[in-house]
Amino acid sequence: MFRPIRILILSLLFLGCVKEIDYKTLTTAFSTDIRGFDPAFATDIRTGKIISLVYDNLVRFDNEMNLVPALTQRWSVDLSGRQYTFIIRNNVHFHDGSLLTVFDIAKSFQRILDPNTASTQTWLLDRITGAKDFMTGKEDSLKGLIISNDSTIVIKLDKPFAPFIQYLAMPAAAIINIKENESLTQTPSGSGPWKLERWERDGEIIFSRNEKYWDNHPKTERMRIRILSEVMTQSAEFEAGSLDILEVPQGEMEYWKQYSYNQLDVDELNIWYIGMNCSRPPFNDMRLRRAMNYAIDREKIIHILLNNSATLANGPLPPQLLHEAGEMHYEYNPNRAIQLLKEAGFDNDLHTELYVAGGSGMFHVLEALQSDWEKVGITVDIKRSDWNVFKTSVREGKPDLYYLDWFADYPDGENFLYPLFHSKESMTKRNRFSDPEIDVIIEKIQQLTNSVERQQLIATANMMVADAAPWVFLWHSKTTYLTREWISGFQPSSIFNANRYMNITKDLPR
Amino acid sequence: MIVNRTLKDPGIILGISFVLIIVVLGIFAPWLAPRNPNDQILEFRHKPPGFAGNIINYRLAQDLPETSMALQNAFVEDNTAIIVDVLNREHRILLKNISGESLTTGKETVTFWLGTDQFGRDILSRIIYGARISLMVGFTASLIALSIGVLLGALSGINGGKIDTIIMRFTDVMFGFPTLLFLIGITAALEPSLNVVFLAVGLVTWPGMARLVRGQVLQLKEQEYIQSAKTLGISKRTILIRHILPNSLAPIIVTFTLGIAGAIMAEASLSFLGLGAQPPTPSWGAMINNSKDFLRIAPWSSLAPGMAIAIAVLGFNLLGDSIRDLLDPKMRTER
Repeated sequence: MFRPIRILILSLLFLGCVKEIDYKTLTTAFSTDIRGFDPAFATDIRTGKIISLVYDNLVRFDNEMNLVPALTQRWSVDLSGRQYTFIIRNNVHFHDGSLLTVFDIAKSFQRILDPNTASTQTWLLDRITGAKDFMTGKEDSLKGLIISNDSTIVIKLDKPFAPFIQYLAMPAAAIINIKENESLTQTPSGSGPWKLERWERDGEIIFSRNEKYWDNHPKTERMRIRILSEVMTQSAEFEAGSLDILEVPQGEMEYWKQYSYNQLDVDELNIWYIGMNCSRPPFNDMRLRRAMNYAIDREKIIHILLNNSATLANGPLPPQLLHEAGEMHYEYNPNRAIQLLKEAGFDNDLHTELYVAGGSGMFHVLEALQSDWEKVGITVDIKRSDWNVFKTSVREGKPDLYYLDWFADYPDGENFLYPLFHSKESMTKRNRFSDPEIDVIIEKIQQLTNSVERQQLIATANMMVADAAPWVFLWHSKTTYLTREWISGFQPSSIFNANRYMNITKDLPR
Repeated sequence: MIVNRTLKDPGIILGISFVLIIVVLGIFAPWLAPRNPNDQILEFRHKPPGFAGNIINYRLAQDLPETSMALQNAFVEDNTAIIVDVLNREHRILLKNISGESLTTGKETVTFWLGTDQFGRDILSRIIYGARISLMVGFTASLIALSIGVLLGALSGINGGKIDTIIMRFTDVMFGFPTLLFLIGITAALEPSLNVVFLAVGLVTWPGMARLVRGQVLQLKEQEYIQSAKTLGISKRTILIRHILPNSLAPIIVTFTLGIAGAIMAEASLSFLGLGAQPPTPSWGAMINNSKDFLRIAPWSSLAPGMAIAIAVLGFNLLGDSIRDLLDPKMRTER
């Protein structure tokens, strides 16, 4: 009968104890679990982050968003822009001890394109010569993938395509130690700086460092990524010292301001937006789309609701990807919005629906937008649904309005322009926007290799898209990280898979 | 006699007063609420209870809804009020339109008695309007459950035999589902909205009522006065409607009242999960959901709706219990 009381007293005693800090293990948290360790299915950011820890690519991004050699010692592109030559490092071993060879690289790329793999990421590599034939089974091997000798591999493309080299830094282009009958989802098989120790679904992912890594190995021995879906839990664990790094949740910004933990703000390469269906009434009218942009006070929302942890979007591209900032589009001007609505023939009777996915981040800001639109006579009902249902309806072009974000796969304006605004993509998957002039510019951007002209074209395309207003451009969000006093060397990056937790040390400050 | 015993029972007095408060708030919400529950003043985000601030009410055109803006610094030039906001931007608001109609009601100091939420909305007004939603869900859902439950229970009890078995096994199956899980399933499958919640809660909570009514019918069926009615050749239907149901009214009312409490709770839970009322509808459950991330910065924004739910549910539960005590002849002798 007294047992519960005894247990209670004992647990109270333990609560008072200071927890021993494990200086060998770096601990951080994700809010949802990853999909697995198979690069072929790494479509979300979290999975991509994890893939970059256990695998290596030919090239990768450093913290400043520059492309640097990884498994390749160096690479070159010929004058036609169609042929890439890679000289491979010969001292790289997979986690199981076997040597990484050019054959592994060829096999890894073929695996992504192989119809049996059923990867969703074939778009990364299907520009290689012969890829279409290989994917349909006409050919047994990839014609454009040529192994010249045991340290040289040549990749040929059908057409010059500037972003290709950046594609190779993406999760799905990771080099795998392919073994028969082994599922990569559960057990990764790579050469990366971290080895998987254990993955408990919806619990935690534990890594130990790869002592034999070809480059400098990580400074901490182990790393633990805990899956904590609740915002409050993450914060509480950070305060208690059980988390070393905290990605500050939106709602907790105000709370953490009062503390003096080491704070790092990262301007992410992303955009949050409201997509408007441009192919049918009412939003096929550009005046109405512009009115939607003018009617909302984004500056105030960023300042008050988002605690300044976002930058005003002035078109689809984040400022880091533009050489110079363009003129300001769509300042808050409700009277202008009302005027445009009148011109378009809507007299306070516009009633429309905004689709949003259930657990979507920054969901709460929609209520502020809703209220701003109401002020100029646009009634917007928010329709929340499950992520899969939402994604399907967007694909099918059902919603008039939808709330979504886009995170860059690689730091290039092309990654915002082609997949979001080229009519081939937008008309089939997104908000049904089509502008032949913009299409031509985007195609040109894809072919030009880095040059001043390319930068200018990107800026022009950005301006043209902003002008046509296929979206309500909202903002580019920042992520704020806090680190505990015993952590040093943490350097988050704007590109999701650039941060590999290599140079972090965990030690009490002296 | 009932009045006498009613006054002696603190439970029933508390129950009745809680229910009364909620009902009055719900019915007279537009007159009682100090502010429009959906009017956002972002500058007043997360202000504690009792905060008072200056605002200006205006509309952008005569036929557009009235909104408000926080007032820090403002001056008037001819027909235009120039308002300087937190970001030091100037907003120009026309005082009168071309035909001379006034577009502003001028400066006003408002007190937010229960504080404001993350959008600077008045929590008190939202609580008051939220009472409407809770009451609506409570009554509608309980009425649906009542209709289905009484119908099936009576059919089952009066007929007996195969019909009874079929209906009661079906009831058992329905009873077997965990209520909240079932509700989540229904609302997630359909489009989340308040109407779906009304229907779903009604369709899920009837088995209790059906069992109760069947029990009553079975018990009363054996009573002598029913037996004699039967001997006189009165039809089953008439016996059921004229004699049995009126005599089962007491437990039905009790279950109905308790059902309201359950339905209010269910709506709050669903809205909390984002499956009920959609923004900006001021449902109590949705209010808690919206404020839960700010528990440490603005605890009042989730405490207030939490208290409201507690009062409503407690009120209807106490009322139901007390009615049972009053109407149950067995309890009467004990006192």
